[in-house]
Amino acid sequence: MSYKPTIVAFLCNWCSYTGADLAGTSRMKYSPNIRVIRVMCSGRVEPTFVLKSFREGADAVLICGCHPGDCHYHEGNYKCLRRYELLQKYIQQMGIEKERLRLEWVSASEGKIFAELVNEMTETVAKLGPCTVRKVMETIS
Amino acid sequence: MRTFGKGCEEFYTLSSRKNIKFLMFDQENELPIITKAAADDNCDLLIEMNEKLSGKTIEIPADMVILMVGTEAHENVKDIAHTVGISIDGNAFFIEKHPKLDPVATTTNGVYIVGTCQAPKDIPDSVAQAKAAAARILATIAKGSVTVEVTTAFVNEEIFNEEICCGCQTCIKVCPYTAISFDAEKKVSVVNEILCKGCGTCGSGCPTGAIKCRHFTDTQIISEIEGLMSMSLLMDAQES
Ligand code: FES
Repeated sequence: MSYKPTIVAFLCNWCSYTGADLAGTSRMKYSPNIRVIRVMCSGRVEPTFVLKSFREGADAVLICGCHPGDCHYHEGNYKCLRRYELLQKYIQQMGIEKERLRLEWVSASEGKIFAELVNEMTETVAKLGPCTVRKVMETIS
Repeated sequence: MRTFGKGCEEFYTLSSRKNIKFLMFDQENELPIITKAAADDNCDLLIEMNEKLSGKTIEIPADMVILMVGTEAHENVKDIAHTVGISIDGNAFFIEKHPKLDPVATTTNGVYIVGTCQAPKDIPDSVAQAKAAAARILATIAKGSVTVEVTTAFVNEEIFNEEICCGCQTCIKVCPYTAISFDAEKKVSVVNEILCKGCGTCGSGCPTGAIKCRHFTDTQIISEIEGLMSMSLLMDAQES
């Protein structure tokens, strides 16, 4: 059996979630490895959520928000970007490869881009193999 | 060949009777070529095209050719979209809240879109949409009150809970709507739920978890993660 990664995705309600919805309504096919969690804005994505996902066994985490300047709440995505940069440094120190966490901008009309993004990310993560955080944490406790 | 919209078929028949010919060409293969006619052709221009229905290449003599250009969005739409907080699509037309369930409203309350700012359309369609938007606005006014967002944030006030506001005021700095103020007497932040739009940025910034975002609380999202992941693990186990 080939290895199937699990990707947890946080999509902002106004752009990326609608974009993902568009991919669905236009019947685009993309890999089923993604688990979507809707948040009102990418600014709502707490670092805790990302770490918790890795802890629970996610192989990668994807955060999608509106394009810079297009956030429904004006600047939530900029706040997300700042948190993301710090989080990238942090997860790398914990031994999680930086490819496992991604922040991308997907607008409401970019269903195709979303589908391609998911496929491409699944491929990259499949090459990296399973994320070991969950196992390590289980051994420790 | 069929026309678009109610009553347009009649126009088509009428103009066909007046000897106007409608020809189709294959958009993907070849566009019609317009050349200057030779002196003995008895006309100014020659149009050479691949007619789609017959599949033949034909030549049409013409005295004048008028090219009709497509509709383009106005160059300022981006600024307008940013100012009122609505989205635009790949061709820079405004996007409605939902193509079927809410075709005139936008993602910003109280902002409605009508006519060709949304997509190229004809006058009857624009008028119909304008009426719909007017009806929506009247409905809001007639109600006499405005329903605020349900997903607003609030500050936890139970003092016996460890998730209590420590007065660091991080939330006040991150709020894009200045909806949070500081109660100097109680030394806690207070959310004005009428101004709050529910983006949840304060909730992610709060170090103690005192600010909760209705319907998107930390507990709810974390349970979502746990649920999704345990389901994936279960599916993996079943497969192997
Ligand atoms: S609403 Fe999409 S990123 Fe803020």
